[in-house]
Amino acid sequence: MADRGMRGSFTSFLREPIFHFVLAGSLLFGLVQLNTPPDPQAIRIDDRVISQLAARYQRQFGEAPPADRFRALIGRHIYEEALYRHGLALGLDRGDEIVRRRIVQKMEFLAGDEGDVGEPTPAQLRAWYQTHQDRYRQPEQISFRQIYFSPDKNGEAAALTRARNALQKVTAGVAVDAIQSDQFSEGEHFILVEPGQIERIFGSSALTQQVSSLPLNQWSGPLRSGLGWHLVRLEAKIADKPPALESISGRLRQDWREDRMAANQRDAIGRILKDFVVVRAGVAKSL
Amino acid sequence: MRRSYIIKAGPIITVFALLSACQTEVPHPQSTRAAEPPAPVSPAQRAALFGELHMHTAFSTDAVMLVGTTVTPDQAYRYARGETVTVLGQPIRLKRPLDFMAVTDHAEQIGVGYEMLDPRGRGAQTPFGARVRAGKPSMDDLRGIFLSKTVDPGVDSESIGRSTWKRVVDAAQSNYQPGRFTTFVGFEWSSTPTFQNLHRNVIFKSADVAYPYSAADSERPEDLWSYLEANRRRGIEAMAIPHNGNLSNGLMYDWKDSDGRRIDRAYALRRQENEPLNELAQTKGVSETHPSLSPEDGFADFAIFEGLFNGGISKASGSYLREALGRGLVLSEEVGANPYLTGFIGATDDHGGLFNTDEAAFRGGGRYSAAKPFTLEDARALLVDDKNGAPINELNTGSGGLTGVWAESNTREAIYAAMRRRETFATSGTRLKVRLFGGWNYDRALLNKQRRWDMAYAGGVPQGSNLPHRPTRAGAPRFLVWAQKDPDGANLDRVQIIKLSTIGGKMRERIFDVAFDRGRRIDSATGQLAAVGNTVNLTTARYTNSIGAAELASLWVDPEFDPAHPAVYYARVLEIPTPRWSTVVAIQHKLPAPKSVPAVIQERGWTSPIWYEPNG
Repeated sequence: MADRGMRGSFTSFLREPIFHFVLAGSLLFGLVQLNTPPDPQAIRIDDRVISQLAARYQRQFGEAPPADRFRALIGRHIYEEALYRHGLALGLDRGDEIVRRRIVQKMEFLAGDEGDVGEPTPAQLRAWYQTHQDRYRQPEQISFRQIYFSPDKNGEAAALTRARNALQKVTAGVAVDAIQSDQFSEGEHFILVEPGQIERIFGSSALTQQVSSLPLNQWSGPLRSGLGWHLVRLEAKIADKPPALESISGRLRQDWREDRMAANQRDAIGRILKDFVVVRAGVAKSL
Repeated sequence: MRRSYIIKAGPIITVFALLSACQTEVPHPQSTRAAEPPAPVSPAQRAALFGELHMHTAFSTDAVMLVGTTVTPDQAYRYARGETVTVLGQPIRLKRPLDFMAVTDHAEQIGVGYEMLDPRGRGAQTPFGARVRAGKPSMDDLRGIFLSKTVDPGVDSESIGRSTWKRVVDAAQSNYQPGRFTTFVGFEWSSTPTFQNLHRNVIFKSADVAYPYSAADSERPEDLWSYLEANRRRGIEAMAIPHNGNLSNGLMYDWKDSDGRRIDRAYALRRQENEPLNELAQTKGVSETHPSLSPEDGFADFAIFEGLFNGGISKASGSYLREALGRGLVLSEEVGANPYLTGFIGATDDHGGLFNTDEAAFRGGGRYSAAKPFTLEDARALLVDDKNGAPINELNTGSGGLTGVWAESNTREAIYAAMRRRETFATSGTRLKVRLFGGWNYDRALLNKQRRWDMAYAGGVPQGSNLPHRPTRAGAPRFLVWAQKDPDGANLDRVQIIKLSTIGGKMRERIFDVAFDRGRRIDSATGQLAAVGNTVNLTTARYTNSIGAAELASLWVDPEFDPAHPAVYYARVLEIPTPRWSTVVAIQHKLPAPKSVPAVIQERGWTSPIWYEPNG
């Protein structure tokens, strides 16, 4: 009975808030004891500090600090540590916009760094590719031949007329080699070229805009480029279809991992936000 | 000519040509490409690539202070290759993307201005930082950027510089897309002794780079070369490209070295090796020649910009490249090596991070960003012939130049190799293409041959080279020159060959009109080619391509060749007249066109030279 009473009062004591308070307090005290130097006025320069300073210097300058630089680094560390601690004691960190933003930045950074996201399985990679196909599409590519009629020879109108006459001839079956045309310095046969490349050669012109929608395997035109008149024969067209997964697996893996990291960061920040209650007062109620 | 335009050379092309006839299952080239070893590419397959080798971003402290740009190198690269980027909340996209680019932020105080832009950044609270953020730099601040001895930004510039440099390299790396868009890592060494410009851009061949060398380290070009040479011994290859000789007050192409001693053989050899290229055209003027140096050149008065930052006028002699080519010949006869053995490039030197050489979109080389709305008030301020409180008179700036290289592929290796061998050309911003070859046996029939370029390379040398050894019975050197208009630009007026030679230790300059449209002749009495005419409508700012030619070519034989003395030749191509940017701005905003600058200009291109050295 008494035993039971003892046990009863002990368990009820375990439920007492005061016990929790004391327990939490002593735990905190212990942690603080472990983590802060015994004397808040003592600045300890031990091997840990030295290796931190060296590592920071190495990161920034790509080499270990030379001896003379080291003494300066330690001096700087002491100077900053003293001012930092004194400032904290004065409560300067509170209400300071710069400190506030730095801490927010740090939290964002930490949230984005929640462990490695691992490697995608083949199935995950495939699924990622399926849902983001647009991102990996390659531009349309076409192959075509052209015959050139230069306005430098007798002018614009004559070039157009020569091109029209030539179209009649090739359509009637005259061999291309038998056509009186002008030499085009950029070449006559264009193989697997993309819109950007076509525009670089022919300018922002009717030819550039229309070439990929011409009928296949027949001579069309005349079309004006930035250089003159052309007859064009479209020979092949590869729509801007997505490339094979294997050929871009490296990029897919990278993108998948980046996406995962971003998602983890969003989740981690979401968990923090969830624990807060927002109280709106005054004007804010209607905003 | 049957040359095919091929993205990636290799046997797959043949396979593909066969497959293309039967439009069914066509393998995607991407999957086959990787397995094929790259085929060797003949020089005749070299194509013209256009790029920018002088671009500043917000990592240049003066760009932050003067232009107020926030564009980072990463954004600058993405914009140049045609991606949409958001700047100041505006999505913007470049109409005509580039093939390659180097971001070249000032090494001096690199990243410091950007750091101060950030109210959270280091140094934001310093007086210097406050002036930067307010966009109100003092003259001492500006001087201080280039000579960090004289200004204390109140922050650890070196530590900011180191982390900034890492971002510069990262941006170049992540935006490099071999075959499509090439990035180079670069920086600008901004030595400006008493406001005389000795600036050089340093361009690294690969991602193996060294931390930038700044004017605070030394103001002497010879010391910059020592930095480059030390790096080269460690396997880090880079070149320095001088720019704005026009603002050097005679120092850039002097007879003397930094210690005032006449240039000797060792200096000449070091300069050749470290500075194979010079920037000839950019926003702050063209450094080809000056009317006072070339009185017989009817086209010398183009984009002249000679106002020094302190209000003085830069001395012409020693400041321009044509004269430098001549001095190079004199010095090479004297010391046996030519210090001015250099090719030409063009660039913008834009300080906003957003590439543009389009006359119709240019808003002065200063405060007006493509990302900011351009108002009537801005237009009014811009068209006044005055500094307006800015360090330069923006009305006198040009829309900036471009670099053309003849390269086998759009990769760092191919483009850098083209730059090293000087197979380049400069333009005033237009994308005309121009080629010059020199040899002893070229034949006129070459012009119409299908395999023109194969034969040109086989029988001579391209722009940027020394002519081959002169055969015993050879006559005068022969030059094959070819130019094609910008497909989105104006027709060509003419191609000229400009020749420098020495007579009795003195320089001589000659200009020959060698190619022009069929409708014109050289007047036998005056020796002058008739002017091409002018189609510009000054109420609409439009022109028509009803005059001039789309393509010009010529085989030219030097009629005044003297085998006993050295000579150097380069080609200059002129476009037909088009409206200057200031005319476009005036018409768009219904303002009177400014009187102190020309209403129309003739955009142009310049090949790297070809040199002749007497045998023995």
